[in-house]
Amino acid sequence: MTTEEFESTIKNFVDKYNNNLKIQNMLKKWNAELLIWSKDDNAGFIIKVENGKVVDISKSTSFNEGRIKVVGERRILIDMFKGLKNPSQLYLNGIIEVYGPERDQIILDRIVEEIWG
Amino acid sequence: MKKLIYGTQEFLDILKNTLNNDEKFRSLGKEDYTASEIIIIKDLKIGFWQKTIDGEIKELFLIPKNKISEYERMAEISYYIENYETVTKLCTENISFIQMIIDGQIDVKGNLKKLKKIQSANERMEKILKEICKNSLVLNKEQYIKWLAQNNFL
Repeated sequence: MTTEEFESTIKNFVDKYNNNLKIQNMLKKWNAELLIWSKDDNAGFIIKVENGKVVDISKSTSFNEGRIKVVGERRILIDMFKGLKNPSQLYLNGIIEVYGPERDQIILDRIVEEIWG
Repeated sequence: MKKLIYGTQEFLDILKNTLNNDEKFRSLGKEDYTASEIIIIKDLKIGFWQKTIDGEIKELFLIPKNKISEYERMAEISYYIENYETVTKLCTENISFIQMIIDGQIDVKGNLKKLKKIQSANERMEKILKEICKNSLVLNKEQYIKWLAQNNFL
């Protein structure tokens, strides 16, 4: 699994997210920067959300970026963003780590539930 | 017939008994739902305490103003609600607890792993709460403050 696949998987997920009207309606006041961090590469992607919509995805090599950080092995993150692995279970089992304010983490759960639930 | 008043101890007792007798709530909570939770209503400085063990609610009661800090320290998950009007929305409006967290009307602090585990049971609880609310009276803020004062919660 390559970094290109990692990038295209995140972009596909973002397309689903931005085109989901229920999510857009629910999160219209949400502004955030999420860092999706691959431990294998020591690099990741920053996803910028404004008023509930993803407005930018960019590569990142700094773990200091992002108010919310989702950290894991690239292979696991790809499967998660493809909907093949349940993020809550990955988190509860310690396979991925999530850092950030409680409210943002609850929002992430709700997004996943709407897209894959 | 006397109407049940939302937010009173009598209301909480009925909610607790209904949930403990609800098979779906019990089954959703079994093994996953063991938690101490507090809801703090910031403008009134009172709160609600809930202790649940293995999906059975053992304690659900109103916390008086002078005991809030003590219970806040014991809680694994704390929910902070700005004012009484927001609390009444849970009863009178078709809005979920989670949506209110997302909107920023409720702030949450504490053990997020536990919060994720109890999510499904909490959603069932909310549904039952709204059912009980249909036959309850929601006091306005002044009336509720008067009731709290008369019952030594302030």
